[in-house]
Amino acid sequence: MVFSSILFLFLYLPLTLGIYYITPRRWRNLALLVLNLIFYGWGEPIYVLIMIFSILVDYSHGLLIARHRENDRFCRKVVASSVIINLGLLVFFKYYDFIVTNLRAIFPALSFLEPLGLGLPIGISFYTFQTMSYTIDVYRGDARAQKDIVSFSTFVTLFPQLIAGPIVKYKDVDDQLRERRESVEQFAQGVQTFVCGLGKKVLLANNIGALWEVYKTMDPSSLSVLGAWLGIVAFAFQIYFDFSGYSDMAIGLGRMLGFEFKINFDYPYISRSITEFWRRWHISLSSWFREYVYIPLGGNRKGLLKTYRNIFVVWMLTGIWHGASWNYVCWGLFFAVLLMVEKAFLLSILKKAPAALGHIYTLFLVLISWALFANEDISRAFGYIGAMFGGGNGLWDSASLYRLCSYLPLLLILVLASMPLGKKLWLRLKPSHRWGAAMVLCFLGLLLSTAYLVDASYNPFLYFRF
Amino acid sequence: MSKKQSIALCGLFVLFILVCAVLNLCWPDREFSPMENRTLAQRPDFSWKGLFSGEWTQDFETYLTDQFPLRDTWVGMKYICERAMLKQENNGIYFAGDRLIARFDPPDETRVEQNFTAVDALAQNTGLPTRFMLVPTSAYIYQDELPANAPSYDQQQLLDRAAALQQAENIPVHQALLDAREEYIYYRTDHHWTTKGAYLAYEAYMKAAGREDEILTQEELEAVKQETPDFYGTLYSQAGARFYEPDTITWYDFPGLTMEQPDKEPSSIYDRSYLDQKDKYSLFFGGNPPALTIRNENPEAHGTLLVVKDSFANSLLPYLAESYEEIHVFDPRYNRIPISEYATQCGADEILVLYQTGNFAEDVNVGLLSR
Repeated sequence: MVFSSILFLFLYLPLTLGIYYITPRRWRNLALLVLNLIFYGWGEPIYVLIMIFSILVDYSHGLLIARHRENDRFCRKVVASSVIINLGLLVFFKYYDFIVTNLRAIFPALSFLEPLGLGLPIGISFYTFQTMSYTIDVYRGDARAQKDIVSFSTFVTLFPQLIAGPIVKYKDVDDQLRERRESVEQFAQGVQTFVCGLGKKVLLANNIGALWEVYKTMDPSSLSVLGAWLGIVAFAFQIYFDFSGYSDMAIGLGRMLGFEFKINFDYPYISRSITEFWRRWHISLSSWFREYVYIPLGGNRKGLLKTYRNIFVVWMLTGIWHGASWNYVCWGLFFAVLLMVEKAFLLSILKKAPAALGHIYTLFLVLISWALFANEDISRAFGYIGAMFGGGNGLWDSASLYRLCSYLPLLLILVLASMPLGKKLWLRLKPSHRWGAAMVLCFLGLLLSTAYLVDASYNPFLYFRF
Repeated sequence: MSKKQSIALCGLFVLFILVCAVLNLCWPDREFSPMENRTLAQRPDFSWKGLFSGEWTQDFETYLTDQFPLRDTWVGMKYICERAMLKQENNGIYFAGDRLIARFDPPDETRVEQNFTAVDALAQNTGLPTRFMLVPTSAYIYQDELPANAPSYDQQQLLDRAAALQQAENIPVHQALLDAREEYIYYRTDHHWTTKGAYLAYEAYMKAAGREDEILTQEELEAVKQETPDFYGTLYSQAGARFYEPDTITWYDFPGLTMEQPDKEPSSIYDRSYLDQKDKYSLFFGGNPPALTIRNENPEAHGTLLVVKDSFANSLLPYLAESYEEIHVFDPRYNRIPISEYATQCGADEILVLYQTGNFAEDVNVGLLSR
């Protein structure tokens, strides 16, 4: 089930909120668990079993560590076991076909291996990371082992962040799972965050996505420079508003249920360096990798060479985490190289340079990176980047000019919405006026989002041919 | 925000989703959407098998969205937002002043060539006078009203190719249509030409067929003229548009014309049951029946005409039916026998092939005419 659907908004959500709040406090985790499983199982009931398996593994591993705390060698083995099982699940379901196809291409002798064509269980990339970090945190002493299997299961299956993040660490919500006081103020904040996210996804991301859709399938050799850039700018806006909209909806829904999650996006497109960009983009993922890979590998404290190695490893993993395809590896390594260069000398130069230069430099490279990200076929990705620099078909074409004009008002809104302008205006508003503004904006947001969601299924069946 | 204000905001949100939820459950289900011209999804029967395969959940979601209360109103609201955002098209339909124009996508060159060759082959195989009319869409006639730089294929290429036919006689109509572009020759909300537009083609055809003196005069037409207002056509539906002036369909209720279809009673060429439906253009012959013969009882009528056509011809055929004793409509999709054989069977004296440019360029069945 996705948040931006009639089913979720007007059936699942009212039922869930109703059931949650009429349940006595001490049973709320259980109620939530059942609701989470319905949310997840909707459409893919079988894959619930994999998630339950993952829950049982880390629940028991956490308890084992808590019980044998004095035996460090044993505990390390328990952690290793959890990591292996979780990564095993992830690798099997997400990368098996990718690995097999590549192995077969390299070693023809392995041609007896067949791709399985299994569907990817929704959210597996997120919940395996969450459960894995739980066991690690218990071992490190950063989190208490959860003895109540209901609470632990509620954490893993928590529907707001289940399918598209943010990646919530157990230690951040431990207290809230044991004892949380929902309040009407928090709920009201949740409403605002949720509607904001809904609008970002349905009104902004989906609409600009239609522009990218036009260029996505075009042969790179037929793309003009204008068309290639217009396409990739559309994609950049689509992925940002889609993803951050989804995170906002998750944070908002969490608040409605009494949870506080950390922000996941912090206006990434205003960054003045790639280093800064990654501090603002998908924060929960980059901080996860920092905490559980980069720092354990030694971070930047074991000499320059090791630092570079660590950056390389982390960004290769970040790349492949986004999908089982070579273009994501390239995308990750592209950032690895940029981050190394920035670390070596560029960052200090950028700090002194005019702000505009930093913005242009960052946006330029981020757009190039999206061309790698958006084209799964790697040769197409390079063809596309080529077209951005004139390797396609001329400087501009009239169709792209038409689309630019047609989308100009939306593009302007997207530019403004990518900047903290709205937030600043909001803060300058008299506190007494904020309520009225919030009421109007929430109502409009809900109304228009519903209109666009209903319209998405508008499917006239007309015989133009006859 | 004070506690009271927070309560109000929460109330607004909860009320909105609750009201929509309750309405969605109580709202009567519709079978059919005239605006979309399709049947809407109905409540799927529950089965455990369907639940586990994911089929039931998917069907249920489609059902919920298809049957959402005031569906057409929400679609209209989205349309208004799109116009407010200065969008110049929706679903491939351009907003061109007071009319809607369908985008014309570049056709498949091989198919185009195949279809033109088939028309020549048809003339060759039957040995009958074969005339060909290619009707441009409003994107050609009102090209200058399209949004600036809007992509649309130049139909002139197709019209030029038609002029190069060898065996069949091409009757160009685009110039006459261009000359009359200020008049009401194309519907503003539908992709068809109007009955008036079709009249220009009728004149051209009659001249080419040597029946110039039989052409119906405006006075003759005026006597049997009928008008059906409030017609919102396919372009209007496709664009999900709002606030356009409806079109008016003009039709001529000629006496003495009957339409015959296999396994059906002979009937009027106009199916008046469509007059109070949305799909008013199906008034002509009740849409596009697979096989059709129009008979004229008037003693002055003479000759048998075989027609291969798309729906553009529907508003033209009534004029022709006033002159010909018999008109046979041949649809290559539904007839097993080659058209040349059929022409002999029905005793055709001449053949007309009439298509709109886009349909002609895309239709896979035109190729069957060469058999």
